[in-house]
Amino acid sequence: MGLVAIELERAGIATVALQLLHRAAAEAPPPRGLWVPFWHGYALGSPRDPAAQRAVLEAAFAMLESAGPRGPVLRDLEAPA
Amino acid sequence: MSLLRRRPAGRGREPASGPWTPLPRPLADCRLALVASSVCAAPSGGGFDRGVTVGDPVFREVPGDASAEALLAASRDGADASAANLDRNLAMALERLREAVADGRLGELNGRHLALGGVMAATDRAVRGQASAAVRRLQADGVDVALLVPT
Repeated sequence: MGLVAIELERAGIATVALQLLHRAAAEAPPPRGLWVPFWHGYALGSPRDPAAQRAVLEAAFAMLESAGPRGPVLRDLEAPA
Repeated sequence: MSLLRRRPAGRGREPASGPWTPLPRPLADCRLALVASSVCAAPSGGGFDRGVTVGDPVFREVPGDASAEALLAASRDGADASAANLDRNLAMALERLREAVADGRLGELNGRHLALGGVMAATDRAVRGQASAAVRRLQADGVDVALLVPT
């Protein structure tokens, strides 16, 4: 998805990409990547857990809003307690 | 089974440069499109091509008003739909994003979203073959922000 993110950013669309694999993020770093500690198929976390899913989205939104350094930036979502 | 994975040791990446688009306005005023390498497709989109060995690299459109529950979720090589069959939002987080709009956290959702059928190989082929055209569709829609979700 990093390659898709790069194409979108090149077109002037800000992106944030959830990442399941660090290796994939290294090979094609998206401008803003959020590594999530979940298995394939569970990028938003637990099924039928809207609060936990919203927390993942909120972390992604925060990356978009961050005035931090120009990317590529890869952050880790902290595992839920 | 725990849904949590341990983060691998080391970051394994070098700083790199590339295109970078800052948020053009507050998120509460932005239009967002979802781009997913997904096991889900819209019923009207014809589903994914099951004849492709590893992922279907065609960007399928998912209407912005699609019901998450109505999305078709089908397992295919390298991409298991069992999670999406428990909750479509894991693959296409349409309900969560609509809640963010209702809460005023997001401005609005785009009238269409994009879904690829599956895995990294499909993504790579899609980028080489048709990403530019797919991106132009979102650009023409006035999309400010894209959220990319892998499967």
